[in-house]
Amino acid sequence: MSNEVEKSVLLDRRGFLSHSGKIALSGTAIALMSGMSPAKAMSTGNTDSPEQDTRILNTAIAAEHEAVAAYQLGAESGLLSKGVLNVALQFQGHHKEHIEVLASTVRKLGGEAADARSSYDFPVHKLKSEKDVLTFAAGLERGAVSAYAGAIPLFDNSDLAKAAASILADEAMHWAILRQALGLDPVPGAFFS
Amino acid sequence: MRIIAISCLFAISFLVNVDAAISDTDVSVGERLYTQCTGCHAPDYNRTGPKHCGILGWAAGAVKDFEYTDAMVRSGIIWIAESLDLFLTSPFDMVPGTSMGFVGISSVRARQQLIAYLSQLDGSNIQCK
Repeated sequence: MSNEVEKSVLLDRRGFLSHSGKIALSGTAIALMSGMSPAKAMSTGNTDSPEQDTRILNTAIAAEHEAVAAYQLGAESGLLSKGVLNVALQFQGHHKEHIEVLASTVRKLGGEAADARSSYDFPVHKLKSEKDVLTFAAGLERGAVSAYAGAIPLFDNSDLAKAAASILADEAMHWAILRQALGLDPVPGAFFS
Repeated sequence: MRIIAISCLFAISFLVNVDAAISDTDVSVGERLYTQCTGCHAPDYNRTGPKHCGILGWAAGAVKDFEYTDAMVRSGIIWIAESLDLFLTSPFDMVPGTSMGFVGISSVRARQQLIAYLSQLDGSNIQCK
């Protein structure tokens, strides 16, 4: 399946922005999660769903921009061997693709996608070897998996959840590969927490 | 008098030991739980979310050089254990409009352990120096 087809499947416009442009009620989902009865939750007339979804997506975009910048820092550090550098650049490319899809989604929701920051406060002083860079990158990827895992339940729209889950899976593969490169068990458990 | 003093010392010692045991466990487990936060946060520097060193006692939206949502700035929250517990239960319920896209932690114990870890991220913590 080509990348374009994958994106199309992930963010099928019909499923994503159909129904008169209305997104399912994330606010309702949250009300339900907080213990409110379904009837009451639906009756709140929550209209903040697109804005809320946009905020969640923009937080993800911001984290993806950070990942792109982190891999750039690693690539320019001069600390990576050729093989590792190639993998790092490949992973960076994935994060750029995530940004494209997420930003496109935000725009479809009528929002404005978050931009990359002009600078990032990375702990550069701690990066003195290839292992340091790999450990740093692994930490970011592991955190990204957690972030998507924590955000997916907030999407009431199953297409958004599906797209986020697809990205989560990609980040998890990055994390496993980086752990492998560090000589660690690439898949340390049956469950991720 | 001597018996009372010894009893008091024993009681204090017992309380301190219990407290220390709980805190040690909580902080240790809380540190592991904190990895859930590391998609956006770090103890000592701002990322997609603000840093956490010194969080206890801060007003929400107070970290320098971090761009908060209006919702967070206007929330009026002071970060103490109780408010952190409410927020971590369901960020969107406590601060509608927050950009923290996290569903929350349903386990009371896990929240306590995470808060125990966050609480010791003060100026004396090596991660905050």
